[in-house]
Amino acid sequence: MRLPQVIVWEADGWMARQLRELAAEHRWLLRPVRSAQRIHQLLSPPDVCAVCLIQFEPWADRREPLELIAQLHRSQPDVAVVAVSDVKLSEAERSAWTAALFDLGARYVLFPPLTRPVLEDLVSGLMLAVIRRTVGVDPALTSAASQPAGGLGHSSAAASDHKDDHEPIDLVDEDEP
Amino acid sequence: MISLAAVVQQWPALDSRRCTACGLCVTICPTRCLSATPWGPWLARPLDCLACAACISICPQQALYWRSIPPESPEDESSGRTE
Repeated sequence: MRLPQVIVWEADGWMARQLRELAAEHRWLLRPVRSAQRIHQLLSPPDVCAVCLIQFEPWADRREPLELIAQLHRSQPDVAVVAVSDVKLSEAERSAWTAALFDLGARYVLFPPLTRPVLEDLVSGLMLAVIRRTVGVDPALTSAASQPAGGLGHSSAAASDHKDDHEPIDLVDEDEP
Repeated sequence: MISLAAVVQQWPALDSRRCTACGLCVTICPTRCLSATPWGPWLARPLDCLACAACISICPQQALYWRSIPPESPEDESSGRTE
């Protein structure tokens, strides 16, 4: 059965901590993982519905994150993969790495400054798009209809509360800490 | 609300070949974590799942079953990354 998952593969747990509230608010599963094998295990069923954040280290002698991004793009094209680096690079290097990671299959590439609003907006936007594509339903209406407390059915007031979910992501306007 | 399904790492899984999209599982779910689609249910709010098995019990087609996800073992930590 499809279920929304946010999978985070990182070194220090920082991204998972930033996304904990967002996942709890939407009642999504947040899965910090420690290995590429675990990501394959979580995404093994055919009906996956996930956003996967993978930390990579530019210029480091570690090919595993890059190989994983390429493998996920081939085997699970519906999974939205975000490549994240906490290494500060020059603008030219950022452009080169972004182009390379797009070629490998990343949906987004993030470099510092990494802020919580950016991560939350990006993950929520990607997840709602993944749900629309894989499940074929409008997540706003679905969540409004499936609130544990309150009335049954599709409430227009509840649906309008999720209007912001459909707003396009504009990372340029995010404030830096 | 504590997600018991997350604690026990068990989630209802769907055999789409058997499912007739009758919607009984969605109706019976006490936390309404399941949502209906034209092709069958999906677990829209997994953190609300209590692993109560009501959906599995009521399915007339036995299209729902438990799927366990084993916890991540230390041996999986091949990359040296930690949580």
